[in-house]
Amino acid sequence: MQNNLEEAIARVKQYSESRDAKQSLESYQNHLNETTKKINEEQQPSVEDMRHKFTV
Amino acid sequence: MSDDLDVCHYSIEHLRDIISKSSSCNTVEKISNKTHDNYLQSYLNDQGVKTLIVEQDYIDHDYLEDYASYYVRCFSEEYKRKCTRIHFFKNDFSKKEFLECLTSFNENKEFHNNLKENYLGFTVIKPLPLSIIGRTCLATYPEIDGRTFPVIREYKVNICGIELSVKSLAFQEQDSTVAACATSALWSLFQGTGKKFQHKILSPIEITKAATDKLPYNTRTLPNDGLSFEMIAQGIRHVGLEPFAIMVDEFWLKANLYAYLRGKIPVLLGIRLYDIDPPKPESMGLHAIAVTGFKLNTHNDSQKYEGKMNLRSSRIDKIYAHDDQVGPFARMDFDDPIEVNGVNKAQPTLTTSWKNTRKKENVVRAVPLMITIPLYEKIRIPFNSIYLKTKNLNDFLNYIFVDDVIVDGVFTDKLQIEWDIYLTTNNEYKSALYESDINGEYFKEILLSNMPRYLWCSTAYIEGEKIFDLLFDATDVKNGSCFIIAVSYNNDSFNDICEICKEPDTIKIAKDFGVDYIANWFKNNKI
Repeated sequence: MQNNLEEAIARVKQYSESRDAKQSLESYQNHLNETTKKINEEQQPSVEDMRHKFTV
Repeated sequence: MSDDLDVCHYSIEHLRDIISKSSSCNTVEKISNKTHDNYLQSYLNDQGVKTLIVEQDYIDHDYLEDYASYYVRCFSEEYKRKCTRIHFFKNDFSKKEFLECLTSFNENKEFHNNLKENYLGFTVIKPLPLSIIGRTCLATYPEIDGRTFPVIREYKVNICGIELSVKSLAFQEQDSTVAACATSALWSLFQGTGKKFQHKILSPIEITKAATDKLPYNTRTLPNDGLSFEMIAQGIRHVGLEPFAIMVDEFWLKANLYAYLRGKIPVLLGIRLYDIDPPKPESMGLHAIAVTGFKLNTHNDSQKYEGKMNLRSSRIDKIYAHDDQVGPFARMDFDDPIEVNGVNKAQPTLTTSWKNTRKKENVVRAVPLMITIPLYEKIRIPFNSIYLKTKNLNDFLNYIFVDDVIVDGVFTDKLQIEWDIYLTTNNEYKSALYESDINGEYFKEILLSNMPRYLWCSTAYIEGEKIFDLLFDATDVKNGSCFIIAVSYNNDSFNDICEICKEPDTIKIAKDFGVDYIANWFKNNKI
């Protein structure tokens, strides 16, 4: 992956020890969970949506 | 006998004349005012049609069903039982030459072969007032420059014992008595799913009756004035499939259309038509179409949508749809959003070939609202689930391979992997692998591996190069991981992921991203 495997391994180790990294990841996860919920809600058609007649 | 069959040179005037004579209530003027006339004229000219074969007294199964259920019991005697079928050919020949070929086959083998090679399909003309375009199977435009029609199939045609065939998906105009737009769209959908999932292909009136079997409670359903998505869902269940309905914006429309069409499943799209000629767009009503193809922009980078993953489907700049008021494979381009009454944000639009009430062209736009996908019951995992699983992996790979991708909880996609997510089958996936560069023992291992019948495939591309496929079980339970295997196309990048996943800390991070099951697989599967 872009020839930076060693850097990536070092980064992973650093993240596991870093409190900042953990906090950052937590806030990201919260954001992700909200996004997932929003996607599912927005895509769910309402009963009213399902009852519109396509007539043209 | 030979009077039932005519051969003539093509011109639009001649075609209008034939159509007019085949449907006694329609004058040539009425026919030339229909949108289908514009469509046919441009299609037949583009394809270089030279000759028509006209079969009088043709018996069409679908029309016969409609006739038996409705028209035969009308007082008027104008509604005839038999139709006219018109065949289109790219080569020039006369009636004399065609009839000669019937008397001496062996001496005219070349003529036969030419007929087969130059055949472009047919249209059935129904003997009805107004709605005259019956079952129509026309060859598509060539699949080049990113243009794709994944749902077409072979239709066999027989004229005087001569077997011809055309690759298409059947289309017909709404009858407006036994079938409205949604029925015509469903009918086209079933033409594809009927072959793929082996269910009965219903005629328009059978679809209307099935869809309105339980709904509406309060009024009659024939003559039919349209179907709701609730009724459409009922019609889909009637043939043993499961309807999957979702609301869509531009991003999700492109993503879902691409994913399911590539799985050879046509999609029903509900749109609202707007006349944009007045200063404020005016609604013309709700309309349903069957989406049958798309065109990917293969020259530029894919379009970016804020907060969304980089998908190959975002390259779609046109879709092709069976719009019963326009024609088969009618082109619709993604266009600028418009402001409409009652909605806060600008709505994405598609161009249409509709005319507004003042017969003006290029001023009617379609705003996509929702889609329904007719699915075989074993295809249980929806596109969304695979999108989210792939997005989690995409974010995880960014996080471990690039610095500072999450700042203040906001994720920035720095790897810019382009993901190609689509539905496929075990057999189709393995057959397609023969076209790839994979070979040797690894190739054999994948071909011999046990897989479910339906698969979701997420392919990762970096700077246009295919890196790996992730295969998911489309028949699994929704809360399961669904993940089966990853297939490598670039062993260096693939092995980098395998290597980093051997670090215990990586697996911990993967768990935070909800992709530890994929990371664990990579940990144990270096090539």
